[in-house]
Amino acid sequence: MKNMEEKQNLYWRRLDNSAKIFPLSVSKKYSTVFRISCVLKEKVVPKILEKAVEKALEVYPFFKVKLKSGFFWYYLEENPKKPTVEIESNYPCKYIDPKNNRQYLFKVTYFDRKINIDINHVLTDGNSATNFFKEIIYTYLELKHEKNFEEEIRLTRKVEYTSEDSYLKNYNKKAKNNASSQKAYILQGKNIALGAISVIHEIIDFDALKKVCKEKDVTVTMFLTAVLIYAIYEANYKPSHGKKPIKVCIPVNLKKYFPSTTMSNFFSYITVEAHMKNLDTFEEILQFVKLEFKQKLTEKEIVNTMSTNVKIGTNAFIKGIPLLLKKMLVRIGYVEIRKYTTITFSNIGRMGIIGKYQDYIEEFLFMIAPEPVEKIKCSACTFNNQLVFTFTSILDDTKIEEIFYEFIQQQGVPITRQSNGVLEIKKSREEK
Amino acid sequence: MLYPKKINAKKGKKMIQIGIAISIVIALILWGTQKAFTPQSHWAWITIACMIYAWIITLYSIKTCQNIAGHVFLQMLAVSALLVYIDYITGFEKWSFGIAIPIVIMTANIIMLILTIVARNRYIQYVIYQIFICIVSYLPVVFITEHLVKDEILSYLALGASIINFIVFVILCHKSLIEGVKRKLHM
Repeated sequence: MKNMEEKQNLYWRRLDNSAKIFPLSVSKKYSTVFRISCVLKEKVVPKILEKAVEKALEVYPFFKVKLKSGFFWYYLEENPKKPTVEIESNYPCKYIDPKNNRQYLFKVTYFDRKINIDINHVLTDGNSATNFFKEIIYTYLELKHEKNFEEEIRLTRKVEYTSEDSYLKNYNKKAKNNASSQKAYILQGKNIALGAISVIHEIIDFDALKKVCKEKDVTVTMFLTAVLIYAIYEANYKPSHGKKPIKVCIPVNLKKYFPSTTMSNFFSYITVEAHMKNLDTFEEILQFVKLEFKQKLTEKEIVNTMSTNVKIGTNAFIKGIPLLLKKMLVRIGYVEIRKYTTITFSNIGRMGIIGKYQDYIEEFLFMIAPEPVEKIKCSACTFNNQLVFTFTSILDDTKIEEIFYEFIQQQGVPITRQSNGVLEIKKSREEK
Repeated sequence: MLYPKKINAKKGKKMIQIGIAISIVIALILWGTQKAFTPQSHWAWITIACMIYAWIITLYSIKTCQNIAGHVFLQMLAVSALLVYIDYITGFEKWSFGIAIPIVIMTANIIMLILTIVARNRYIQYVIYQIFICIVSYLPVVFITEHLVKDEILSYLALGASIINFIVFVILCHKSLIEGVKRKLHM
């Protein structure tokens, strides 16, 4: 009886508009998981990390939830269990099975000097996940080096957030659908055997990269998008005589455009659609990308994209379909939906770390899960003078990664590589 | 080092190919033994079918990262119960104890042995099921002592398979064993 009462009093909330689609499509193949890692300068102590996660959850109870199914939609309910912290043993961004994870939708793991958090997109987006992860890192360092952080421990960090659905607050009911109806070029090639995921980090000198971008009058994201399109064109598109456009999906943090303190998903995206018939050299690609960003990265365009998606989620007919049927329909159609993107490139930008804490951190890594259609996904984050561009791939071929690496090197930008060893990376002349 | 040492994709593929080649050799030996010594019985074909089943399940679960051990354990119990029931309603000649269950146990142990070798990095989630499978695998001993078995060869083979599986498991995964038991039993 008491148990029943406790269950009834548990906090619950609706999924935000973006999150609604994720649990419908999630499976072992479409994990919808992303990972943020922090490489420390010292070995991780698991017991302290466990405490740090528990403490961070007290600051951000938003993440202390499990996924439950309602009649029409999934919803999130408070999870009274303690989270687990495990040694890293699987490939990054793999499907998080709630049954093996005390129902949590995120998983904290560690390996040697590295702390990882794998988060299901149902819960939040990269931007808000970064805040939660930083809280874990701060708390871990404070617990590990109590004396050095006496002052910081006394002053509690101000954390203000809501769990509102900012999409509903900001979308435009009259917005027109601006999505392209043409399918994208799909990367060709065999998959890596046995469900393995290859990770290759390209560690780029940020100042040198910024200098090159300034010379070319483009932003870092524009430049990297252009290099990515160029690498796909040279390594995969040309050899397989591709005809459809290379479409790069770039997530956009909507908090930059609308005032919101939500921790729920609040992002949209722009799609750079490169028809390769008219683009042959890198300079042409770069100018094209610059123009696409100028046209598509405007408030009006972003609101249109966001509103189209919100209208689907709030459609009375769709709302009325029972969850079981919704799930079946989405699963049938999901592979087709994914065919409108060649690759996703998500740049979460600078990891703003407070003063003293920086001394204990070597680098941050960010990566997103590849899928059967989007076989490679790219992500980037910056810490200090290091931009880490990561390829997560299920494609049994590293040509795109190699061309990307060689091109950046040719621009005179210092670059090094690290991988998880699933695929061998050919050493360049300089590395040899 | 940023990541735990993972088997290189090419090496992993090679290991699986070697495993399949070994299985084919074993299948040929079993078929030859059956033809030479017990031509009236078709036990080798049942064992070969089980080996094929084991490989399909193993490859599928490695690919999809499923908790295969839980499924293997459940299937092992369910199939055994079903076979005993079929045996019972068809005259209870006790072939389920002497032939069927030992073959099911051998299959389960072969799957777990392959998993121990191929996927020992994420073995912690399989530990508790591996222990259950090892415990249930000693059932043929009970069958022998209770005189439920006419021909004891398959029962001893099943026992041998489970002992080998247990030894390899303890050698390769002792850390996961301790951690898994602590976690599941809240010690």
